[in-house]
Amino acid sequence: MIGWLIDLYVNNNHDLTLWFIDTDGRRLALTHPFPITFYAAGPFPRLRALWKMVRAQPIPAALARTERRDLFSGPLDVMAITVNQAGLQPRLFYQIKQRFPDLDYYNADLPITLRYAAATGAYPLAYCQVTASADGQLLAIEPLTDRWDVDQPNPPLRLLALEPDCDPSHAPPQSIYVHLPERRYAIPLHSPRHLLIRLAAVLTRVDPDLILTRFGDTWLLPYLLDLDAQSNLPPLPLNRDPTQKIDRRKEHSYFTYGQVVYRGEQCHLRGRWHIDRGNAMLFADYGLDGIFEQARVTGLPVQEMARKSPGAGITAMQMHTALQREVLVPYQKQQAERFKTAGDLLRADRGGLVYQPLIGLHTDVIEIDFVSMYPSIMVNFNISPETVGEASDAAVPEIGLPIDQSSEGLVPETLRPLLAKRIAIKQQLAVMSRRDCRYRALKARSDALKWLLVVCFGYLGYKNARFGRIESHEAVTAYGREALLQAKETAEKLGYTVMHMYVDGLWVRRQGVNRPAQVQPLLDGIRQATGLPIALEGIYKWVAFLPSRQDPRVPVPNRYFGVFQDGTLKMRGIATRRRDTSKWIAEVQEQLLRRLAAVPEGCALTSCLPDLIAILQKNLKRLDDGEVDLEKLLIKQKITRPVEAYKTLSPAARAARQLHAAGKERRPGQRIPFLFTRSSDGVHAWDLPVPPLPRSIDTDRYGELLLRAAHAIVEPLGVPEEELKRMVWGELKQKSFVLSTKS
Amino acid sequence: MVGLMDNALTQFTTGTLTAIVGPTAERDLMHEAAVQFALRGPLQIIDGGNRFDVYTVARQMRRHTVDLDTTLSRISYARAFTCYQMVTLLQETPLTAGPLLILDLLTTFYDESVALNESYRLLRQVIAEIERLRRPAPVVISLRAPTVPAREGLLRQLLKATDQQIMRLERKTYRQTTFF
Repeated sequence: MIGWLIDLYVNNNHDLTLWFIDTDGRRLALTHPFPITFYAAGPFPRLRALWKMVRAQPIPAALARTERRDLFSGPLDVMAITVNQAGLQPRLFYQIKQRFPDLDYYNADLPITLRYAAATGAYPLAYCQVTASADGQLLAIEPLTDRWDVDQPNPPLRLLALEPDCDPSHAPPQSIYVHLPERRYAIPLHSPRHLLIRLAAVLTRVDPDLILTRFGDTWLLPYLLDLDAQSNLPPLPLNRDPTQKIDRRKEHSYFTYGQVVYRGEQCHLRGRWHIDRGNAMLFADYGLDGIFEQARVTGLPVQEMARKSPGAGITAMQMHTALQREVLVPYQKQQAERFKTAGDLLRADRGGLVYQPLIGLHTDVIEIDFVSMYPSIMVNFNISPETVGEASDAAVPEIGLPIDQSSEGLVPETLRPLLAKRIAIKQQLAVMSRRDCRYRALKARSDALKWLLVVCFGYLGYKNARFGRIESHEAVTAYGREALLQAKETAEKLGYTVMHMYVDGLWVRRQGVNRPAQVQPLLDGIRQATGLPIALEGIYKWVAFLPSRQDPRVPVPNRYFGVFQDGTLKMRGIATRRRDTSKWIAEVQEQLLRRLAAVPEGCALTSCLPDLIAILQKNLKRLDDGEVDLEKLLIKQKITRPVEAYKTLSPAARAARQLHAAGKERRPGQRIPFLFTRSSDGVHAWDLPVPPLPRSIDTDRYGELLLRAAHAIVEPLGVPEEELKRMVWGELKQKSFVLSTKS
Repeated sequence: MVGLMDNALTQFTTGTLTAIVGPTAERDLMHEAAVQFALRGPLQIIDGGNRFDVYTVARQMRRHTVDLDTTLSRISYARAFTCYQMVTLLQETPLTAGPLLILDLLTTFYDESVALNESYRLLRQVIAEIERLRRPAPVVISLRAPTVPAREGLLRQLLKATDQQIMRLERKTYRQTTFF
């Protein structure tokens, strides 16, 4: 049989079940006994005691004394514990860990799909040749594709989409929409029996490979499972494998990278996938194609990868490399930072280099960016936790840390094919028309790989990364600063003026250079000087670098907007890019930008100022007249702690308190949608059972926020904020005065 | 603050384990202690909560010495981002005559992703290592209370292991003693 591997899990007999879609479109489940080996290290008497304990307990396990390689300390005497049935290994490991917490453990908690991929080469969605016995035992599996192949045949998936008719945290849903390729219909919720029968029918008839939902993890599936448990009907066939339970995981909040993150409850299916668009990380960025790509390259199951951060994907990839190299994967990372002097810390503990922008409006500015700068540095300079600080002639600029170049590090070995694959996909995209039917999927895959590359640098210093080390993190930023300085020197030698530099990008300008071909010598020069790939992002017709709101003389890095020669807008650091900006303000700010971008070449940008003022007045009038949809006025801000823990209540905390009083709990890390109102709280939580009165909306506050956002756009035209207010409010107020006197 | 620290330094004698407890693990005070110790000789700092701001320390040093490089080089510094790393770092810390400052020692032990009994087990190892390290030199640790009540026992257990010279400096008291 030839087909795609779509699911893999431990079954009730503690062996593996693998699901395939074969080339004839059949969905097949095969079982595969799969032994798992993990290791323990420590003082000999303790290992001897462990040996006796494992022998005495009932789970069959083979024991052996052997030698394996630790990434940092080299060959290590370890005890190998092999459990023949994969499903029993976690239980045995838990018992061992409880009895022998002082020992070091390796390869003890790796995802089963990773172990399987490392052992057989069969990764999630791999196209495989499979030999099976008549009773459904998998005898042999051979992948016919490689996870690094750019062109991967996709399985012919059957899709079923389900969603409630409204956000359940806002109001109780009344029906569920069922989306099929050929039609869409609603099933009312008022009769649970009717709902379960109809859903069971559609699940049986369609037999989907993927159930794509909205609020599926956090409401729909838990709701259906509760109804199902209370009914006397046959179980709802959400799982394709009827012998398995649905894997439900609780909601939780955690602190990472300086912010609190909330993850809702999760419902994983067996034999098919369930993906909740709202609970899938970055679904909006790269959709299903991106999720599939990440599952392929990381080896994590599709349902897991959809819900996990790209960082978890990078960790999985590093584990995969370690398994292939037969390097031990520690259960707990213990390598600590080496002692350094405070002087060394002062030199090393810096981030990316920033060269403040020249405030104001500039024409013919060229933006060039290093391609995946930090991953490229890790690969090119062999930066890995085990290579930094080891005796070598190669030393990191500024900080002088040696980097061992004698063999490729684990991290560069992991990243090299990932980087190559992304570059290959980008090259295909560069010559493909945007209207090509393959473009969207390819772009999504490129974006998914980009996210993995983006986080791989942070994971070098991340506390929970199995193979992270802060010195390697510092080495990467040091190389990055050096590369940016070399790029600046190269540009200046070639007669360019550097307008701004930000970590991995440069904005430069030179009289008479305004065509892409003219920039090539600069790109070649920088590539030669740094050894790193660099590409032209684009040439701006004009770009405005904005000052600080507090002091107009102080520039702010990475806060700008501009229009490229092809008319594409680019903006960073302004209201429209912020997640806590209301949709209405973001849309009006973009309208202003589009109007500005439409000014013909040769005309002064200030010529459109009357139009900009008119756009603002028109929108403010719509706001005053109650014509703006309330949903567009919603502000969504995170709460960072439980409501009762707040001493000073932010608007989001006040909204969360209102919800708490209404019996709706919100957890740290959740975004709370609310409206600014003229009430004593100043806000109205959107998810309260009682909707706000439209006349209670604090239009003055929204007006202020809009003008603040608008000022970022007109400021480079030389219009101070007070002047803008006078131009906009002055006339409006005059108009309302005339109207009120008439009435 | 300088005066306060001058007085305190005389109490940080060899063999003593001093705990300083405060809302932000008394970051400013520990910076000042680092400066004062470094002006006198070598010291080691282990940072459990990413509390050490080398720029602040360097600025404070400049008020006392023109030889900034030498003074900075007297500080040996390392960070622990997990409680496992904290144990490893202490195990790898050599015995020296210079003082040892451990900043925000318990933060990594308050991490809820580590089982509470595992945190206690590791804390016992930490206490044993500190006992070793305090023999030739004073050890000063800074601590803060956990946000989760379930982890308060960790703070109590560590405080039991300290000597009598425990300073509990609440923010208000601390501000009143400031010389700036």
